[in-house]
Amino acid sequence: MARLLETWISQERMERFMYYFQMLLNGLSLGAIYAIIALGFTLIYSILKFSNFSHGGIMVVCAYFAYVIQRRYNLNFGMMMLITAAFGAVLACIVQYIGFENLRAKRSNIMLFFVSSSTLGILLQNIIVITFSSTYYAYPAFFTPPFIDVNGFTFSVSDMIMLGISAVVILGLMFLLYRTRLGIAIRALSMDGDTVKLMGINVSVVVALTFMVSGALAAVAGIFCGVNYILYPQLNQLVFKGMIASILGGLGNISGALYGGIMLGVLEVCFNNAFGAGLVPVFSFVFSMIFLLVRPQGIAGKYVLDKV
Amino acid sequence: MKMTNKKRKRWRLGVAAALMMVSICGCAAGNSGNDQGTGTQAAGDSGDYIVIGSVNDLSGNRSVNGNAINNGVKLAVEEINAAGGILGKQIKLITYDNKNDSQESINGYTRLADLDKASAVITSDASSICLSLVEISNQKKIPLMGMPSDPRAVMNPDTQEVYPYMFLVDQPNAPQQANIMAKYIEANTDLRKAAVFYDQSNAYTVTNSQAFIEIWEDIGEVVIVETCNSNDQDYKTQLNKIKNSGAEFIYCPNMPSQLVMMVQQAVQSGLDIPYMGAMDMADPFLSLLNDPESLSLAYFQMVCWMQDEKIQPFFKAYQEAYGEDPIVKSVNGYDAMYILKAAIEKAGSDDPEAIKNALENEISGLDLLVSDDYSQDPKTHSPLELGMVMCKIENGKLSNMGYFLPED
Repeated sequence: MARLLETWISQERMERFMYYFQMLLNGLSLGAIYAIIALGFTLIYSILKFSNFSHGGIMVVCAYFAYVIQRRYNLNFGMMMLITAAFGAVLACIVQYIGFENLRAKRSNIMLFFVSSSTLGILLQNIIVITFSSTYYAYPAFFTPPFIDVNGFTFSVSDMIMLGISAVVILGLMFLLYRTRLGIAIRALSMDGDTVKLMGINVSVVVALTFMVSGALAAVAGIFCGVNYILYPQLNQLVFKGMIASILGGLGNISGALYGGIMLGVLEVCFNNAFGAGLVPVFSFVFSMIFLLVRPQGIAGKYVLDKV
Repeated sequence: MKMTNKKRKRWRLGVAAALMMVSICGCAAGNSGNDQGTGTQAAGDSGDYIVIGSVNDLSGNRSVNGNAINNGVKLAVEEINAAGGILGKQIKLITYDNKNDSQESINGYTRLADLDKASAVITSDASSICLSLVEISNQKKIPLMGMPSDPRAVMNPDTQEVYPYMFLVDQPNAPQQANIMAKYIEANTDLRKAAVFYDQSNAYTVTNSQAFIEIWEDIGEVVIVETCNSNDQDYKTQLNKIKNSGAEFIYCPNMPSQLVMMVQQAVQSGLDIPYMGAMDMADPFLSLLNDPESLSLAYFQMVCWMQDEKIQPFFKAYQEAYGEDPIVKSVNGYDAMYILKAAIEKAGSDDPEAIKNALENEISGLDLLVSDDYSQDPKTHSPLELGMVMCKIENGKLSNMGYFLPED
């Protein structure tokens, strides 16, 4: 009897462990999306010191672009992602030239950067509304089978693939930032733009290339949203989650954005599991407030006072 | 040729102005769809016409439904005008976009009442929008016809008195829909353990789900109730809980985008139990699924079956007019305009008060797309004894299970 009970308890424990493991994977997958958005967002903040809300617009345009090329050329997931990332890079470069190049040259007030980025975000969203109407679109099912069954517990294949891609993208970004000349230039620019100019670095080129990297990240995030969710013009609202993640991680800090995104995703799933979806925004907000009271510079950031 | 600084400045200013115009136009197009923000005159501008207003979501997150309702109304207006109008007068249809926003709806309705002098207004299927219009309709006294499934949009829940100018037309309200679905499941399946998953920020889904829970507790067992918010995108946590609850089916009267994300994420989570949806599971829901065959079994209800022979002339006319297939909401808009036509004819004038009285007391036996014998109940300002067509989706294939109206 005792042995039977022991077996039963261990089975129950095992089931509970698998359930929470499943939840953790969901949280990590959600956090990976937030982290990718936050990384693109924070990359621009680190060099130009403003919150780039056009990032959401670029994300939406890229998600729709991926949908169109996939439908037209029947591309596989990898090819679709590569082409869209390249498109996102070019689009972000154009957005930078139209929206920020002139402001940067004139050393304009940071508020003008904010206005310009918000306007461009709305413009991009409305281009999508005009072109595609505000109806919904969905990517085809890329991954079969859609899940893996382990002792009755299922793990989403798309979640695991996205986690893998996120890891590769983040490692690639870290390599770029810490092991290449461009990365050194970006990090130097994030510290002191004037000195970087005096050192003979072409700041305009570095800014443009940073926007291109950010655009490619927006494209990856847009595709992730399309695969897991559905395409609609208001998808750019997710950029606010990216912003919260980057604040939690430490505004302008690249590795902080990664930690912030993962933390936010896992916390949301935990709060949802414990208190229900209705209270998730409340608990996330309360947590963020307490966290920033205790550690205003975020997980990995430096103390910064600025207008967001 | 080199540009001078002045010219360069002007050129930049020009580009900035053009960009701003494009941005504003984008917003405007998003706000008002076609050129209807300033009013579309479906009739000749003779001055002797009846003004009808349409306040619908043409660019917000319910614009699929809003555009469908508005297009249905427009098509009916064109037909009525082509046949000589109502009481010898042509109809002038003026449309405002509410972007699924309560304040925009109030603005549109106020403008229709004060400036455009509309005789009646056809509005949204969103309960939250109709609820926000209750107060202003009491002030402006212009009858408002909508498809709000929340009965509180037409009737005060405390006093059980109807709001005099609010009318639900062309479909049963949310508790009636929940009752139809619950009784249908009871009569046609062995499923008794229900999971209820609804959007708690949407008045319709809340009212519908609460009514279902109340009814189902007498029939079977509600094993789990999960909620989400309208802006949520990730439902895997709730779906995993449902999976572990032992539920035999999910009752989910949610919006199409939520249903699509829910089904796709359920497939990814290995959850494969039947879905019992509401009207939003109709087109374009199925076409939005990335793999329709992954949806093993679902039941939902519609006000009509779009492949029905009776619907076909409307279907073809809609396709010719808008280059796309109509959805059920297009039928609602079309029928609503014909109900209004009947009310104006019974009233014998375009006076809003007379139209309101006719809508309340004299709508009976109408031959519409949703029913051959359509009547409005004066006590509830809602359709009287209107059943629904039950539909089934099995492995991505849609079929008609017939008309269903429970006895109680």
